[in-house]
Amino acid sequence: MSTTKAPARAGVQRQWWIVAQREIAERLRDKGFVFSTVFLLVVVLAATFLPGLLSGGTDRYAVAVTAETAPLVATAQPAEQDVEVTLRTVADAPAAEALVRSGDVDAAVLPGAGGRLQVVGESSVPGGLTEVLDARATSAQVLAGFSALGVDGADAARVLGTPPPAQRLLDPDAVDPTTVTLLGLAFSVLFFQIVLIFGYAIAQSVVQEKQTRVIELLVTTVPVRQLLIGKILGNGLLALAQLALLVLAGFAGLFIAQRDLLASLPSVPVAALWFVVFFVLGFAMLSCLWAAAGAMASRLEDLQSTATPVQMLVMLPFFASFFANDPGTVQTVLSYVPLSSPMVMPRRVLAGDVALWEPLLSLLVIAATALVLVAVARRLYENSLLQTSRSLSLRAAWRRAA
Amino acid sequence: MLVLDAITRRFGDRTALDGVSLAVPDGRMVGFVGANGAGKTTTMRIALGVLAADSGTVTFRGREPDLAVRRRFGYMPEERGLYPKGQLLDQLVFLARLHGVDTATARRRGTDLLERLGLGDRLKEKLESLSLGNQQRVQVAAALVHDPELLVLDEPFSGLDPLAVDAMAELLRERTRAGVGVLFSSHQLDLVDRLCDELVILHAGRVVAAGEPQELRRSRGGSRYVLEVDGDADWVRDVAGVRVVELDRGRAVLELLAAGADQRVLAEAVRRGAVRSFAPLLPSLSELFQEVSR
Repeated sequence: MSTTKAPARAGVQRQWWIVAQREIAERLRDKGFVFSTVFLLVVVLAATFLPGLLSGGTDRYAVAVTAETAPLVATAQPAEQDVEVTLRTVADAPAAEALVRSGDVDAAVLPGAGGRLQVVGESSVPGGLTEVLDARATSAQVLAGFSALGVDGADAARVLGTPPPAQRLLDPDAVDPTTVTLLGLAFSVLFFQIVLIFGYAIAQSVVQEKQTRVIELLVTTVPVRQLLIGKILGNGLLALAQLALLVLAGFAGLFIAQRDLLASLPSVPVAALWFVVFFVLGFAMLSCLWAAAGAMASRLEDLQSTATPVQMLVMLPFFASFFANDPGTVQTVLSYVPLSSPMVMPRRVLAGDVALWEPLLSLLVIAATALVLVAVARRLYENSLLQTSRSLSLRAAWRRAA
Repeated sequence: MLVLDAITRRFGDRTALDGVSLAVPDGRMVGFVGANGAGKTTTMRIALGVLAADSGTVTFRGREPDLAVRRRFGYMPEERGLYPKGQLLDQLVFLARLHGVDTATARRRGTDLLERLGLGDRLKEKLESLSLGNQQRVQVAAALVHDPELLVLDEPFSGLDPLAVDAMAELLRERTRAGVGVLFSSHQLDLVDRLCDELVILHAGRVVAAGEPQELRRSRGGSRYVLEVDGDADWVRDVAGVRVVELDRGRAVLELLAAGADQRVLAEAVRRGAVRSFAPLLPSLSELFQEVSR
């Protein structure tokens, strides 16, 4: 009889969590993973910050003028907003052109043939500046015309100073279609990228355990199902954390740099929440297949071929989702097809034209599909796991007695 | 005690194991030898439940082991298996936890084992940075870290230098003294001879010999004796009932054909001069192995 005392068995029932912890620790030690996360974070922050910094604030322009043209463009117009034009008076046209060429000024206003003004730029003149200069010159010329006709200057100025028409929006909360398209696209790309990256990581992790034969040690103590759950959970949690980090960073970026835009999009947070829910179920559905693809390969080199079918299952719906940019039958159908719905349904929610039952039904379809795929993948995984000598065909992996 | 009873396993048309029965009593070190392809690895995998038998039973302490019981086994697979990029201690802690050991105990045991195996200053290094021999030591530690009640080790000594073999043999002896049964396979027959309490020889999927090595040799030794005397021993040719197999001045290998021939030889030798040695000639383990594997 053994005299050794059985150690505490606490935790044995939670082996999946031990496996998941190792997955997470290993990924966090992987410099490539950390780098790519930081990179994505920078991209998201840049995408939300920069447009705000570039479009917000005042545009400043410098314009060279001669003594003759200066009065024509000196008077700011009421319609000018967020534009500041500084005039630099120079002696003559060649001097003005030299400044344009050297880039010291954005444009020059010079007299042209037949009394018509010329706006001179190097290769182009900024659109905003053209608008301002045109309006100022037109106003000055109209005033000059009135004055020639004997109209009092103050009267003429009052007429010209009539404010432009005001805007009144009937549905100010409706989301701008461009924003819907862009955000929808962002959802698709995020889902596609993260599922592809983390799915491949799961497959790699599985095949590595086969290739290094660790698996033979593992199966003596862990039921294969727990191993599968642990791997998917570990990578899934990391994927979710990365996604949450990116989404939050996006919101934070908008909040800081473009608060107006964020305020004008009340359906975005709701859609983002739906997206996360769809992401979780969609990831669970696909990740088992990645694990099976990994189990069917015997070496990392074979993974490319066994993972191709799964890659297709991610890529084809992704490309299909591009054709579903606009509301219509295609978009509605794709928002229920389980492989594409995680990418398409959040977009429909974003556009605000779905009833609550629609995303719920779509989630139900995904969940049902996930149950089937998990069963299939688990069988492939269990049957292939100890076949370390060669890659298995789908048929062989399905048929093998465990 | 681990008992395998009439285990048969086929791979396609090939019968890998044909009614294999063997026992690993608690506290005993059982050497498992056989040519390549004889079925040692398959037997061990079945004992651990990694592979299923087509027929036959495996019992441990009288019961068919379920996963909870098998979790108390320690295994060292033939094709080693650890994470190349994992740190030594981390890997051991991971495996121990999977076997139900709590983290603190796992760390302590893992550290102890690695220190015992001369890797105490490399706990944080990656496995792949170690030499093959050192990786092997870690693999041994991986089989022991959860303080198992039975050890199944497939070629545990291959690739180890003599010092490491001794260190590991001592570790295993410690385990058997604590009542742990050890089944280990090896091709190094002299090592098996030195270490094992019992021997099982497998040939083409069948157990062809099993028992204590000394007993096996005696039973297979036949009737050969070695005689060593001072001076020339060629008089031995004239003793009745004796066939000389080999004669080299004072040393003769004899086959005794008749009962009592041994006493006649000895009496004659003593009469003629000093006798240095007269003993039955036991086959070496490799001779025994070759004989039963024919």
